[in-house]
Amino acid sequence: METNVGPRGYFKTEGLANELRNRSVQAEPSGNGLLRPTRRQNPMTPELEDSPAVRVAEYFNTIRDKRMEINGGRTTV
Amino acid sequence: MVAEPQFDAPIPGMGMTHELGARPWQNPPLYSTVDEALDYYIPRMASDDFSEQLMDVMEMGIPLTTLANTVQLSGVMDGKHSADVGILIMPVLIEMMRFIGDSAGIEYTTGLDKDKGPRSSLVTKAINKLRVEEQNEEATPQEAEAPAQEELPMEMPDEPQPSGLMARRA
Repeated sequence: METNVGPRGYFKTEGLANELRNRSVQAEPSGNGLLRPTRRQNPMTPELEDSPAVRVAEYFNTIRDKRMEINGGRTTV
Repeated sequence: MVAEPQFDAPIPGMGMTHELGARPWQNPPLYSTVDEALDYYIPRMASDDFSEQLMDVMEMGIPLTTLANTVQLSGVMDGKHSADVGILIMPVLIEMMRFIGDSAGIEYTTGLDKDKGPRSSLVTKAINKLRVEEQNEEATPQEAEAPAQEELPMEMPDEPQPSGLMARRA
């Protein structure tokens, strides 16, 4: 029986955090046409932004970035 | 007329518990969102007192997932937040502990499945312990070996007796 859901939750949140990061990269305006969007699009809908899991993933990303700065960009998992 | 089942009957052992609402976790939690709960935890985890204790525990080789689970469970028991908020914030607690461990330069066990084998420091400690035990054994004279026990003749199992309902009794 699973008594500690920590590892499972960690990997789920890590996946979500990576997905959020990829989305923010993809949301950069691209192309050089006249009708191209000039403003950077928000990759998340308001419903997604309000989701607790997404907010947790944002906190996760922030702390992980700080940790990576200490480690010089390498992860220890 | 068919009697309707009663679902509001007390469950066994209920009389030995406190009345509903007497425990902190039976009341509305103090922090109802993940943001509020993390605002409660993160400054406390960043404090010197907590960090020093955490580093001691990390050096003992206790997995961070276990520590995070314990921390959030105690928060639930204190009525700080609900159990589901606790489970949601656990990855952030683990990441924060890893941040503290990395900034202090401590080798720790994450408790995640990707960990391969035991930590090298633990293996070294175990090897040293074995060496000390071996040295102690060499230093003390060995006791005379006990005479080998005579092997008892093995009892042959009896023939299987019929055990059916219609079997004849001997």
